[in-house]
Amino acid sequence: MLAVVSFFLLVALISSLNSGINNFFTSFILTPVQRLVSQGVYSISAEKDTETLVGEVSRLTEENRRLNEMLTDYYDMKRQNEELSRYFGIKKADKSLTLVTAVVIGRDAAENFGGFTADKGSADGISVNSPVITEDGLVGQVCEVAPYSCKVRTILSPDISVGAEIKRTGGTGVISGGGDISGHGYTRLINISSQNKPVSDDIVVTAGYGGIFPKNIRIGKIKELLSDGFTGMPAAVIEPFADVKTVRYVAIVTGYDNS
Amino acid sequence: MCFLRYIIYISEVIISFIIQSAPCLMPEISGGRAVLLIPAALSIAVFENDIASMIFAALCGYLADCSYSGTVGFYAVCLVVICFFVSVLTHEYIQTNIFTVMCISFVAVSIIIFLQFVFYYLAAGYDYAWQFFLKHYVSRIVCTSAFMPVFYCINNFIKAKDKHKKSMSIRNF
Repeated sequence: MLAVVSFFLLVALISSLNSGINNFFTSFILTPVQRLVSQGVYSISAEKDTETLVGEVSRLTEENRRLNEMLTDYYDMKRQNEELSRYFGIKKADKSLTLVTAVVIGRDAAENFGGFTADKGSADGISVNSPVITEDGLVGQVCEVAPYSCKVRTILSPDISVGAEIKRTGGTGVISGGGDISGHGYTRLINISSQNKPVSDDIVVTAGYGGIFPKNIRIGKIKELLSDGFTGMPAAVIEPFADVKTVRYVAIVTGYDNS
Repeated sequence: MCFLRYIIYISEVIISFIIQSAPCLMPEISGGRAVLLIPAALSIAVFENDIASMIFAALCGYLADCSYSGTVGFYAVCLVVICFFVSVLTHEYIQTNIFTVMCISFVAVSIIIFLQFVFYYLAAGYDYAWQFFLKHYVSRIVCTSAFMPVFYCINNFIKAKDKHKKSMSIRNF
């Protein structure tokens, strides 16, 4: 017994003194054996783990499906939140407005001036001539109403007439579209009161006359000044603030206090 | 099989209506977008008799009128009349192939869209009429006519399948 212990102590002493022998023993004898043994152990445990893996895959698939559903709900709620934020922004700017939010659900290919169909109608309190706005500004006016949808005529259309005011000068005019500029997304301010000459970049808002459009709804800014070919009065090309041709969410004004 | 063919036509018309009126789906090329219901009605008229052509044309026209913010009836009347003539022409006088159908459809689409321009733009008294026509309506005619081969191929395939099944059933009988 003493001899055996002494032998191992001697080997350890020699190994510690000579690292070459130690390395040889470790690299060429121990390591391959360890590798062989470990591969055997892994292969046996891998076979056993296949069932576990199948179960894991089905569990992860189910979890993935559940997470996708949650993601869909998340996007829906995010969109609703954005819509309501815009609604809140418009209400904050003018608390007297009574608004109904709507989504643009149709734009006909034959429509010339960006008119569209929205998903709210008379059942939601919308009537013909109700103004249609976004957080950026005026979009247009309801021209036809059904119980659950309505058609909107935009400010690019020559059929629309909106009393407007140039914010800087107080001068008034009428917003009415034109065939030559509607393709670029512009509209026209005509019949400008000539004593207050506007300049480029002047802001134009609704004047609030006539009882149809609330006062101070932003319309656009003056892009170019010109003269009306028919009346000779000053006129201007207006670049609307709202992107009328691509707008997706709108708010329809069903009531307001113009006092 | 006739009934099934008509079901496919109705599906075609409804899908065309949805695609045509969906916002941000059809691209606008030079101010004009394709009015898909017109080539849908014309392609049905090429393969069906005059009565069926007129019925489907009325359906396409009604949907087009509902979508367009204009008077209900314009597209319905125009399509019914033109599809009747197209059906008679293609069944009695002209051999139908992709080229003849393209020519006929281009003429028919041009007539319908020009009439729309006359009734809804010129008659309304809007200014810069011809400038607007060249900028928007011409591109609309071209875009609309460009979809005719698609509808022709679909309906040609449906008709060929129907003929094959009929010939097989006659042979078995």
